[in-house]
Amino acid sequence: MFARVKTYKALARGVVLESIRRKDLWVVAILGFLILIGSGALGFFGVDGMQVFVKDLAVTVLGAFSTIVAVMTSTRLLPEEIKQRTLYPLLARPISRLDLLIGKLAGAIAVTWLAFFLLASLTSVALLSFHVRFEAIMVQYMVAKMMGLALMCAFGVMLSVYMTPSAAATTAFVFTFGSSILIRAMTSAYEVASPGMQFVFKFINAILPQFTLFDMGGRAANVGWDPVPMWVMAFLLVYLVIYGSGLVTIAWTRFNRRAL
Amino acid sequence: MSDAILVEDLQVRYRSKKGRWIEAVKGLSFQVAPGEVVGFLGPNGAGKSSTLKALMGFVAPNSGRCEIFGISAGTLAAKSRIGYLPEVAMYYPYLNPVETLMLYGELQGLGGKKLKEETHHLLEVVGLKDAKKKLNKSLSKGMLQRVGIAQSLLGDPDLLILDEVTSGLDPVGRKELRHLLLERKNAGATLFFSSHELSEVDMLCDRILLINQGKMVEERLMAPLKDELRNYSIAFRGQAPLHDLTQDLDAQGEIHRARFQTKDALMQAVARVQAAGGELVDIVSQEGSLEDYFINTIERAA
Amino acid sequence: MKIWYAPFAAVSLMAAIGWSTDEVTPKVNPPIRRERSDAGDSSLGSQIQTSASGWLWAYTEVYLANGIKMRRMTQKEAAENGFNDGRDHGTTVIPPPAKDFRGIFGDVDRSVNAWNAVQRFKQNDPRQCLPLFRLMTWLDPNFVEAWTNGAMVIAMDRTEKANQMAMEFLREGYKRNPDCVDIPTTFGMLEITRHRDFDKSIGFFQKAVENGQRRFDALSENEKQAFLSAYRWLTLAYRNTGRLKQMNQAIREGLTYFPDDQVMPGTGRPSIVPPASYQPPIGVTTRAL
Repeated sequence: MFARVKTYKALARGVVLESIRRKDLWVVAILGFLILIGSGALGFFGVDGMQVFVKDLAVTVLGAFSTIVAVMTSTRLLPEEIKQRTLYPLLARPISRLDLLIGKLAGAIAVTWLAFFLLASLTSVALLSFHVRFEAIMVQYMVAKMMGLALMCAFGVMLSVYMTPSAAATTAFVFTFGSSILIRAMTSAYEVASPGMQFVFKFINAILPQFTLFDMGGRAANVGWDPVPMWVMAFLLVYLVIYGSGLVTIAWTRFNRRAL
Repeated sequence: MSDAILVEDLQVRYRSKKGRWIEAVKGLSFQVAPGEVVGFLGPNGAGKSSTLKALMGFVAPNSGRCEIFGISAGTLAAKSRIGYLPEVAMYYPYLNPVETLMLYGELQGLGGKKLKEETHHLLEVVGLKDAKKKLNKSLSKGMLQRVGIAQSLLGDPDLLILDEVTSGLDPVGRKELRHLLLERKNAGATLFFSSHELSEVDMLCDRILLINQGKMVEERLMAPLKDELRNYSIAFRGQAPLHDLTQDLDAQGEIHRARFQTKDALMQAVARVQAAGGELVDIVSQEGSLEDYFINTIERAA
Repeated sequence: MKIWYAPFAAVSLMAAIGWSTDEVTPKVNPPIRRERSDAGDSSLGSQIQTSASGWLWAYTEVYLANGIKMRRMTQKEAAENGFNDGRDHGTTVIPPPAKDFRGIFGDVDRSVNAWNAVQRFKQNDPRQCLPLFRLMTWLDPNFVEAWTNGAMVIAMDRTEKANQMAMEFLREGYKRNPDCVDIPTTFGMLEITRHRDFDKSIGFFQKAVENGQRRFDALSENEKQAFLSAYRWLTLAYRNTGRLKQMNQAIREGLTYFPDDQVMPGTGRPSIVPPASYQPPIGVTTRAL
């Protein structure tokens, strides 16, 4: 078990190092920070009244940018390994393909979390400059967001095993940004849908990755929302573990049989 | 004692992008004994890389058996005894050689100070002492090949499987590599490599396996093959009855030349010239061309 | 897999959901917008600007509802809730537990997202929407409602500083829309409600009326409302400053455009025309706002 953890750690560290040196993270962080600082120009009316807007902008920027990092990192990891043939010396070592998959996923999650931390730290500076008060829900927002990002990475890695990197990235973006729209549309249309369509809605809802459950941005950006109950956080964690494991398994069944 | 490599009736098929099945390896069988140095030769598309990939578990054979030291190929236990150099060595562009080796070392189960020391030692051995902190993306093809060679030697593996081992190396690099591989051989490691550089094969191998179109064409020990390929000739003045020893005779003025396939024939010819009172002008023993052998054998097989 | 498979599948899925009902109406574009005839409006850039500012307009509702997203009720929902008045009624995008088919996913959704039962709604301070108004006017300087609503929200503070800022905002908007009706009307309203300066307001209402008259045939429904409003305010301002002749003239003029209006004639009724010394109770106009 310890040896496996060591393997995952080594693989993840390689991914993180590459990502840092490729400067992807810095571009994201600087761009996000500039957007937030740029929002200061909207302080035409004074800082009063800006808090909700700035918080809303912050969670939007955090959500969007960290999602982009999660999708772009996770969907290109394995295809790049195969394309650049860096996979061969890796798999020549006494590690299984499942180990490689998990290690790479751990790397993608680490990179995404790092980007999220970087952006969140810069965001905090921007929020402080607008005298925004931090509420308990902000901490929960960050924890849930990190879980959601991990799920996105698992989703991205799974897609990348079955598709070309660009197709995987496009599909992942459709689902990460669009699943909430899809779910909202289904809940609105459910009552007036035919019984057959209602069954389809239930089926889609059951299999669709519920990324929207990990986004508390709506509460974090607005004022006076209580922290969510602990059972909800526990549910999110259990969902992440079960759904994430399912995604890794789906990826592994294909990757394990694949001729390299 | 188990063979270092055992391949039995190996078949590997790929599906092309158009959906057609391509048979890369068609019933290949061979063994490599522990401590042996075996060259795996064949023209492009002969099935060499596919065979090596099957040995590494990168592709699953459609039928047949591959074993490494008696363990099924591709398993963790089998891979833990192999050092592998892929055909085209690509390493993470944004890591440096030290980090690259540390990564592979950790995956090999190594770690701590020992891994660090081995990493630096190997990079020194392959001549990357001064470039070990440069990012891989800034290294030349030859230098990357050296990184690849160093990583394959990590953990002192019992078996080295090297695909196109000299690819990208300059003559100095090749010489250093030869030296390095001979050291491993002397240390008891088994070497199994494919190469298009027949001179390397000539200098390193105990045995060669020649394949074409996925099938074994010939399997030869190097020493007898070299003897077989060697040419012998004499030049002499005077007359001597040599027609029963060779048909390859000609004369330029008073100098006669005769060429022989074996050393025995040469010795007999020398004796007959001397007995007949002839004057020996020249005796030549010349290495045969492995390249000619390679081409002729492949052409014959095709 | 081909690159277009995924978006194609997603769009097909969404289309299938859309076809399954004709009752869900998206609420994206603002209900009120100024009609314009500029050719530039048809360019892609302008369309994007207009759509983005329209989206922001709709988004102010999210701010006002403390993050809770709303949608229009379907006909069935309206009927179930006893809203058969033919008007639009809102409900939360995330349905209440009784209406949600998603089970625990729905419960978690309601816990993590901004959601409250409609009965427990609270309206947020509209000033939180100010940056949105600023953005709207940046994106679409011809979005007159954004200028006027933004100014009214700024002026909510009822301090002189807030008034000045609102005026400044309106001046900026007027510079970009010199032929509009709404902005001069809002200027006048602010003069009356914040400074009780009926004299000064008259000039603004006159300008609004002048603009309305000039472009009457091209006015949108919203602008026509502003035009009517300008006449009503002008009438009131004339009355309260004792300029009865001008008041009657304005009423006559106004009724040629809005013959069914009851407010203008009501304002001018002799029984309620105050004496010249009359100081109007400011609360009346404040409540009217």
